[in-house]
Amino acid sequence: MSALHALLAGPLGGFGATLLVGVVGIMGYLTFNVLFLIWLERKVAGHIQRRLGPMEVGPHGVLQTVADMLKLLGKQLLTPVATDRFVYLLAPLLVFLPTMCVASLIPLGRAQAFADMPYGLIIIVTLSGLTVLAIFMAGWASNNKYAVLGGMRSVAQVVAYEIPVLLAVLSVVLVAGTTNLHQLVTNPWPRLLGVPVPYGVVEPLAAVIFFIGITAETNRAPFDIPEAESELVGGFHTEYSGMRFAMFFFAEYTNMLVLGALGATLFLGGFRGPFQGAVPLLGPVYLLLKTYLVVFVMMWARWTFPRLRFDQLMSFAWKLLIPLALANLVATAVVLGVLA
Amino acid sequence: MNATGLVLGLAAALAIVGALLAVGLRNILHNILGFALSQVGLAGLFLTLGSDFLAVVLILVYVGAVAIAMVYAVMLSHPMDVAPVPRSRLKTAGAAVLALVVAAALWLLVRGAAFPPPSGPLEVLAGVTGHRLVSDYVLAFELISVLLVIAMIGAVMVARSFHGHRARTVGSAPAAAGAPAADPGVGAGEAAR
Repeated sequence: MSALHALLAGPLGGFGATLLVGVVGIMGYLTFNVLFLIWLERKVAGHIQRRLGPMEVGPHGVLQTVADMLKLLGKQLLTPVATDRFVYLLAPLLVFLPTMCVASLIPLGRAQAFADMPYGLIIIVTLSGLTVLAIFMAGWASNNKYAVLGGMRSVAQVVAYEIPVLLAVLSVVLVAGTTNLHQLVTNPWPRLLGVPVPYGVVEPLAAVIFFIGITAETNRAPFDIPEAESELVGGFHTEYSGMRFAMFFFAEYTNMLVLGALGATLFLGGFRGPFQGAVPLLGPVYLLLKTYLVVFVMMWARWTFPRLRFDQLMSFAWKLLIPLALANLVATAVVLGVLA
Repeated sequence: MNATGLVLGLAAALAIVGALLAVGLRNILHNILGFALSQVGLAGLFLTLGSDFLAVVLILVYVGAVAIAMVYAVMLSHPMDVAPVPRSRLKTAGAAVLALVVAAALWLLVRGAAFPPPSGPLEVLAGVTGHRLVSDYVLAFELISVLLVIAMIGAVMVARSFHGHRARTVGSAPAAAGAPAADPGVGAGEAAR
């Protein structure tokens, strides 16, 4: 990557080269990641349900999603007549945008983050809440009651679950003393009985709340009521077909990766690991391993728990998660105050 | 024009276009999307001027809350196949006059103001802001939180009186048990009784 960067820096200048390498790298990797995650999801689902999952295309079906993607690319794009056309076409593009921005903020290694900002963590939390805007635009512009209902549910859900996520993130910020993601990883870890441990060990409740919250924010089961097939046909993406439909899935799986990476950075120590100081290239490897661990647990939860009813979902957020997250934040502050 | 100037111009253009869409379009949902666009432009302005924290807060508060506003907009919006109500000319003229007055006042202010170059980097802006809020400006800060508490109590009272009214008119039928829970708080409250 750095050799390529040096090669491009000649004609383009340092900033231009960073921009080009960054954008192409992130886009390429995210595309690969979506293909991989969809395959993984089907495999995980298969094995949890005591079947094999896709097996036909390529060894163990690894090329199945590539074939699916080619099919979706070739599919006719249907636009219903009575849609709000401009918003309808804008939504699938916009749904991808916040996630892309967030992806560039996750620190990959000791000197590798495309954008290192002092309030990186707050920016990430802010931007990842914007996906819901695009989802609602899609639901409304479709001019279909199921789509509007799905969009409204999505708004209610994301707004409710954003609060516990923010509070959980805030308790980690209190312990770490910084909102810069890079510093958050490289700062000396808190010590438990003399042993330095990642923030997830000293903030287990925050980690659990964060995990539940990001599962809800990515609209995944058991919190997938915005697209509940059995009651809303497909929810907000009912009226989308072909590649436009695929864009919503692209966004969902990319969101999973990015929020998983955020969780790994916050609670599991990010790119830190054994020998990472000596071999900087290990940083991204560790980060990806931890990220995919979080993503795997998200899939595991999806195929284990049944979907919640809408009122259960809302009361779970407002009556349990938010008070718990608040209590955790206060407890963290008190403990830190006593220790200081 | 250098890169910063270009970005600044783009952000300003975004803010202006968004604001024009917000007042000019005839569909309330488009208005709200225009408002969100203008806020993104404003956040871009702050970001280019080196005020990261303000930009983030602007997006967090205004653009993030737009989704909620959109839900209400859907409840207020006309069906797409019904012709929109024509604009009232009197209102348009009044708004134009008011906007001109505000613009003139702003122009006078900006023309009279001096813009000294920044005395130093603004690295710890958020930390300084937070510290000031709980030391120098603690009274204002507390007053604002009291205001918010009053608003919350008001909202609770409004919701409760509505709840009581409905309970009277509907009678003692367990309405919330099987009904789709548009308002989970109310539904759960009724189920508990």
